[in-house]
Amino acid sequence: MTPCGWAMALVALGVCRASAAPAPAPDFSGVWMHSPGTAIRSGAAHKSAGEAAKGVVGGTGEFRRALSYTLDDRPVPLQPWAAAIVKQYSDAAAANKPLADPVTLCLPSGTPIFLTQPYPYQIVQTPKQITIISEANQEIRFIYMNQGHPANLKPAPFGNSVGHWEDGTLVVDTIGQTDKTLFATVGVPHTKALHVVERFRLSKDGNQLEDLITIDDPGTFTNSWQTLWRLNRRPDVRLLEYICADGDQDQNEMTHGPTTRP
Amino acid sequence: MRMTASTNCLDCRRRDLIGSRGALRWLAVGMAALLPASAWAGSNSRDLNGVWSVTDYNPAYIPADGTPIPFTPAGRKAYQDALQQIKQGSLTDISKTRCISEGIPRILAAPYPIDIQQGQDGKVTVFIFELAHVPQIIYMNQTQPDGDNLNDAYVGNSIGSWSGDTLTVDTVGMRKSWVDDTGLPHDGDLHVIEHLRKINGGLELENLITIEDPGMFTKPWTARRVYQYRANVKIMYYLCGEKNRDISAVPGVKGAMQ
Repeated sequence: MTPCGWAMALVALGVCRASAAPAPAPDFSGVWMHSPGTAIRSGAAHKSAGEAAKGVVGGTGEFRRALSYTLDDRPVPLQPWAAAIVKQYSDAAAANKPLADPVTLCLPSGTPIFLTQPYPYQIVQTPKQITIISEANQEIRFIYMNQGHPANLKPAPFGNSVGHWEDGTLVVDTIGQTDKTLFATVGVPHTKALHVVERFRLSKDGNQLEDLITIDDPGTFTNSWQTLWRLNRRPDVRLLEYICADGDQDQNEMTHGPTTRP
Repeated sequence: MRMTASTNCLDCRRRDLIGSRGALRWLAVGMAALLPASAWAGSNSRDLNGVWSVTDYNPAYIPADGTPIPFTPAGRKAYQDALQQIKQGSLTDISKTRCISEGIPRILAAPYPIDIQQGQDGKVTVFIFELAHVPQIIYMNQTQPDGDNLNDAYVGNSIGSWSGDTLTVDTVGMRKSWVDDTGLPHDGDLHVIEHLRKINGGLELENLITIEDPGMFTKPWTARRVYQYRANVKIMYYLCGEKNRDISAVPGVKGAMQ
């Protein structure tokens, strides 16, 4: 074969490879919400309906524990200083004098606790950016696609999130958070070194969005650990305006089952 | 020798592409490589994705055609009273004192960046205002919910549609708040229609903001703001009462602060 022939073959190969490109990224656009009982699961066994697992989070009170149990249903592996802070919170709660947490004070929640609220989330997807708007306190997360973290990252409440697709799974890497947010509202702290990797994927029918979260912060936890949350697609729900200081919205839907909303 | 053969072959390939739709695609790729990203994105008149911010800050909305605001007598009195009360201190700007979100249309003039994201499913376009991290969710190609189902919100309820190169955003159902930073009030029937269109080769976005409120104004009137495309700006976290983005370089801000 002449060199030109070889080159033609290479061009042809290029065409073949192009046609075997990975499937288009799934579309997460829409409104998503946890629902009672099936909302946030940290229990590996995924207990049957009605069976209370510490990590299965449904009602409001349980939501607040969302990040205090791991995927295998164990308390998160805290370093002693972090355990002492959690104890302060639990002692105060037991004495009926609960300590305020940032979320209650309308302060930013942080990543990944952002995604544990019993309020709807709107995902706005474009090839370059995936934006998640949380109704709760109008918090917004920006996931910048196919790029690295900036150099000289300044700590910010939600950190810096970058994402890419791996065979239909959205992998989001977050660093650069402040240490001012609590990791869980039961008082779990974290350091500025907190590293969160989320793997989002759709269920086969497209109606559930699963987020497998790996948490790594050696200053706070003795080892990295995982938790898993599921959100349900809610085409019937539109986000409402949420003005934290106004005490705008009740949580009836989460504690008493779905209600019809405009 | 091999060079020559390869070159010939590439020529063959180029000939193959020219005369097919591939030629246009290669031309597009070539142009995209030559032009800065901002200019290239600007070539699509319906692609508003990205961060924009006002070219100039002005706390007051006034009609862009140079006419005075067409107040009704009650509207004129309401505005005069508001200005007087602000001066006396009996009326405060709750957006500043209590961190309550600025609504539509006021926030459209804020000297902070706006991230516009057009969902790829075509169902929503969102304006994310860095100021107080307010989202305006615009439901595309929908009708407004009937009155009972309107959300009571400072940003109101927004629907949008494209006509040619203009995005029209229609907003109703705003909670009572200020129409602009000077304290211009509105009553319950405020209706705002935005006409957004890229200008200057896509590097700027014009917003013609039509304000209708029969209790306040004898007829609708239109203010104008222009946003500049900010290729290198990302929305920062905004925490009310804390040190946020330094906006002192935005033209008009220093004067307004004095």
